[in-house]
Amino acid sequence: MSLGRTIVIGLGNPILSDDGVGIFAARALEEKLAGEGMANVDVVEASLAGFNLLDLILGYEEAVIIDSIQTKDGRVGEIYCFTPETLVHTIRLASIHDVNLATALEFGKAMDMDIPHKVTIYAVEIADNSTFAEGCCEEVSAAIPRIVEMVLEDLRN
Amino acid sequence: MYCGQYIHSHIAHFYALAAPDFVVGPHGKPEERNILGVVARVGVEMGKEVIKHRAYAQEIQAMIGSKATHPITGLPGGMSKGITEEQRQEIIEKGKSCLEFAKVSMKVFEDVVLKNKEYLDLILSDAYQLNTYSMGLVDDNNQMNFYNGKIRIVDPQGKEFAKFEAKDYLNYIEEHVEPWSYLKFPHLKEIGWKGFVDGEGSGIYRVAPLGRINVSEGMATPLANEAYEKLVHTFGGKPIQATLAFHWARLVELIYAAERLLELAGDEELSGPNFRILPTETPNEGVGVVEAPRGTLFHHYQADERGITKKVNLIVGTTNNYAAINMSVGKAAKGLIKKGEVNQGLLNMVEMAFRAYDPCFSCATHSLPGKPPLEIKIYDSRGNLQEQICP
Repeated sequence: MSLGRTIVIGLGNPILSDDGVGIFAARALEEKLAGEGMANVDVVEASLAGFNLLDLILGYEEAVIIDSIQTKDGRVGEIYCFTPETLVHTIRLASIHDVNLATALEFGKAMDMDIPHKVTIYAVEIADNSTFAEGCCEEVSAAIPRIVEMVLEDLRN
Repeated sequence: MYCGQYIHSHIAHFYALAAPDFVVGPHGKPEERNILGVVARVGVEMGKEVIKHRAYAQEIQAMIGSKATHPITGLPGGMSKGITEEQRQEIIEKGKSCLEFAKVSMKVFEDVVLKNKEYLDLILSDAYQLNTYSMGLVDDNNQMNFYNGKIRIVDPQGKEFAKFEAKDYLNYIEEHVEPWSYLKFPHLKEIGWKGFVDGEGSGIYRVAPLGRINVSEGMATPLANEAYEKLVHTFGGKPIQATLAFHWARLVELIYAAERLLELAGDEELSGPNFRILPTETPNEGVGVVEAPRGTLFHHYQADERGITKKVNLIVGTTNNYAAINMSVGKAAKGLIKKGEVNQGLLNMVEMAFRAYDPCFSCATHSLPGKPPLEIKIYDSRGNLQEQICP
């Protein structure tokens, strides 16, 4: 399979309430892209982290990651935009058997791997990622069209 | 496919999780005690080999399972697709390379850990010992097997305590519940739950690489068997109860997984058309057991007359080790922290007891509706509540 220039990855678990926002946004984006004629953009859904996520973005020039986030006193539905540099102070183990995204990207760089020269991370502030349910709360659902427009704008530029 | 899973799982654990403790050192700065710190010391070329072989193993899984993570080709009675002869040859080539890398990894462990007296003393120190029963799957020769055979349990002296088929697991294992955790504590039914104590009188057992080594009388492949003999000889026999020896045992298994992968891939029938036998009956109950990288994994299903699942019981690798993990952390903390003096290095050394098990709590924890019933209260030295956290 030939790779497009850019990969957009929607991350999350679609049966865990707001945690699926990245997946739902990726699906909405894919529909929009069909009308935009952007054949060089691959949109994928994934429930991966660390090295497995690194494998997914290898070979692309640019990567856009859409995920959920929970911050102290964050407003549910708010959208944040990060670069890997924002996360650099988090280099550590993401769990006891995987590394986090920042570590995986730094590792990829150190290994001269073919990682994207630009990685953008969009994150939606969520309320609930621990209740089994298909779909997000109202505030998070309302953020999906907005995040799709933001990513589209990025891709157009 | 299963050997591929073992290869990339064990490579990732050794280089990303275990090696920072030894290569960078238990007292290394936290910001350097990670895989980047390891690469800075062992060199970029070695790092590239790590990533290459991890990827090879994942590609082997993907060839057979369509996806490396969460394969999708498994069906009742077999697989939804076979592999081509070209793919079989590719698996052999990549498997050969993985075997060479497994040997190199063992050499790294020997050079960095075993030739360092400080580390060897640490591995043998009382703070990292736990005197438990061991459990794992073995073949007819009592040699390690990842997915076929009988479950064998040996006591803290190494004597066989039980050997049984998967379907009989409830006769041998029961689970204890503590109010402060939503993981259960499996233990040997015949002995019962005696609390968080080790020894022959306690039903607590250990699984995963060290548990499997302890129940096995050798490995079924030649190079892995050599590595096994060296491990057992170094400890003066079995059972080996040094928690940090899990890392060594994991590397013995890495060699075994690569050798076994090559054995299996050498069978020309693998690329043949017979990859599924259609089931002709509707099953009503079944118990399956495999050795997952993190320990013995039980799946028990009961179904109705339509084959729809009505009842499921899972005991996953980490759950089996849960009591031992708690005890190992407690013992390391008591053994290493003296006079209330705690620093980053000591805390990391306590973590090392935990990390050795390569636990996966997201697999081991099952709770509905999924919210953690957890409340953290922090008190000062006079017992006054300072902070209350409800995640």
